[in-house]
Amino acid sequence: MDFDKLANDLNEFKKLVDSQSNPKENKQIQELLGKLKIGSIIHLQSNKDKKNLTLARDIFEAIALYSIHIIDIESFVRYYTQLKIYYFDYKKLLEPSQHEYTIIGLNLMRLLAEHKNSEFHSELEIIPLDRQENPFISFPLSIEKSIAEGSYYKVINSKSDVPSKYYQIFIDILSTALREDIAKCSEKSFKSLSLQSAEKVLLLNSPQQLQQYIQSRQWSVQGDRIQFHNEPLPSNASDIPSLQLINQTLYYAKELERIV
Amino acid sequence: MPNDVEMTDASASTKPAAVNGVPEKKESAVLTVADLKKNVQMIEKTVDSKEIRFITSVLRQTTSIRKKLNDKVLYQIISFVFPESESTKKKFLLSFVKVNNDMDVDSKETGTTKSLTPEVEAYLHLLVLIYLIDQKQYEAATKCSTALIGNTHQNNRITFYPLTSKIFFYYSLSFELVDKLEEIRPTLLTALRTATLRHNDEGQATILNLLLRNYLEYNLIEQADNLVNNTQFPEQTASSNQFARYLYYQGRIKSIQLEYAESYKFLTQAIRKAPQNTATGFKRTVYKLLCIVQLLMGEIPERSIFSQKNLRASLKPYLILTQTVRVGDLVSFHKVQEQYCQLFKEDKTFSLIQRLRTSVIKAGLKKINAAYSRISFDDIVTKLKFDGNPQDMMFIVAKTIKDGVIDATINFEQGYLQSKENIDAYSTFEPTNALSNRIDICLKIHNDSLKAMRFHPDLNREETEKIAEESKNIKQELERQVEESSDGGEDGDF
Repeated sequence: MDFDKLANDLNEFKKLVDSQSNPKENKQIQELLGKLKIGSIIHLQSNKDKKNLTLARDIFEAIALYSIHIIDIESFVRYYTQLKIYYFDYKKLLEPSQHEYTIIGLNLMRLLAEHKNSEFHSELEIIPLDRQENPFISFPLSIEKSIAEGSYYKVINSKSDVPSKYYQIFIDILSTALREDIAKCSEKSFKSLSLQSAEKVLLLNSPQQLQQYIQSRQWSVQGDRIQFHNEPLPSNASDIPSLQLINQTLYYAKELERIV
Repeated sequence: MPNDVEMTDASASTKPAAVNGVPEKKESAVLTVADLKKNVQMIEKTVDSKEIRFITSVLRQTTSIRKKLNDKVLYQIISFVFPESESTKKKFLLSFVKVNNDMDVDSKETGTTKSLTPEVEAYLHLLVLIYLIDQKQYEAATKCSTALIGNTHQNNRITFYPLTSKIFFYYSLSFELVDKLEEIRPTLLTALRTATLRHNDEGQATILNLLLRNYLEYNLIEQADNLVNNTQFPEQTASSNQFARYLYYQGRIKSIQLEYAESYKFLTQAIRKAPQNTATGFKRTVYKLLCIVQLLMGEIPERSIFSQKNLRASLKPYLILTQTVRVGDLVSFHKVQEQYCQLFKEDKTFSLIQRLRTSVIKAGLKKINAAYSRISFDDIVTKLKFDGNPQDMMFIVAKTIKDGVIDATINFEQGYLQSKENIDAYSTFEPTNALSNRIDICLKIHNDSLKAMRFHPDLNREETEKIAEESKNIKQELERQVEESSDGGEDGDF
């Protein structure tokens, strides 16, 4: 298999993925995918000139986007790690790819959806500040800010202005995670909440969904209100963290022993 | 190019010294040459006696000698030291020095007949390199330093160790100045391995720091973090300057990774380890970061930090920033952010400052909660000058309650925030925790100072033996006492 053939395969692959409604089932796509994977590893790594590197990058990009398409996040991560080399280390050798920021942005979205905040910020540091204006990058950035702040509605409402269709699936994952966050906050901050408003607060679409959700979190319902038990209980003996206090005291005793 | 963590060397002026008159210039040049000759002898003495302290004392003078270097001095000392048999090396070094014809005349001294030791050669090479950097001939400096590193690699004599850290420091600096830091990463990594295997602790510490600086220069936080996790810093033996740097880098990594408490710990330690009176550049950088990290933790830095004599001017933007966060005013916060945007970007604190928005809102909410027993979300929005709708505000408030910043409840149907009565802090575990924190700190200081009083492995032998002798005497004394007392009767639990 040589260079031209690989390039051809790649074009065909892209076309097929775009045209098919269910690419995972399509035999032809799977076959091409296999060929591309092998080709990119065996043939293009042997000679690292600009032409080969560019093609390898394009192949990885196509597969990464395809992984998002069929919601295979693990495979996306794998190809993103490969691509990172092309985006950052070979930056001076290659011309910038048009998909570069889409994919970097997608990875940021992934980290957000998986609650990997520290990695998110490490990744963000690598992106030059002037590039953070790029819509593909600024979108996950603004989402992260809203989450950190607590403006959950902003995140949900941003669904309509995603910069590319690939971002949609992460927003969906995020919404579920956000509901959990909202529920946790509600438990702490509301005394009680009517069912009607609960539906609105938790961003659910029907009373049935709400009922299910209430059951999964084991909230108690009295009449048409959910009661959260955040009244302070009268203090009793078990409130005293005896074990912790004992540990502390023993530690001091040990250290003092060493000094005296 | 921010020269932020250059501690000992940033203070040296880049101007060639003695410009005020020809005779004085000549005299000082003669003196410098004499000094250098003495230093060369010292280094030779090191090699002969295998006593490292001579060479370290020579290196300690580098800063003062650095100011006096010029073409003539270098030319003379190089021609003096290099014997005829090493003429290629001599020519290479001299190619970096501008030679005028009139210099040639008086420097035809007889070269030493002794063979050249690698330490002396490296020392002179290093001086040339430093001189090139000071003269801003950065391209030449990289060439010079690369050659120097090539020589260093072949050497594994113990007497060479003190030189390695210096050499690598200037090697990295010269590449940083021409913005080619990433090229030397592989060299540094091999050097780190070599230094670690040969127990060259000071070299190991220096190179580790250079690598961290290298990664952080390109914002490669993940790689830097991996490096820290997979290596060990020779805390016991490395100089405290290197340790301070190391702590600062760790603090920076942690701050990016949102581990503010950790970061705070490292940064405060870094300040404690840094030299008291010098190294303002280093302290400035650390204080800037420390201030932001404290704000992100929800604490307000102490006022005294900002009023330190040599830091006052440079910390001013940070002081203003702190004030806006403390007041909880979003509008003025954004204004400050915009106003000093360029400066924050240069300091590489910009991305951290962007995260402060949340802290500003929280601080504002805290104030409102303390002042009002019941307030509607619409009012909160106007009071905080928040750029969103009341609905968003409700969630923000809910989150703040969850995070334990304010103690209140929300009434959703009527849209207001109801604060709870203030509970007596002394009925909670707050005081216990505060006390235990302080005790922990005190114990740590005690343990650290105990550790610091141990014998330094580099302490020269005579002294060590003397001290050991004394302690032996004391021990015997004690044992005798114990014996006497145990003879007295009760022999407890043997």
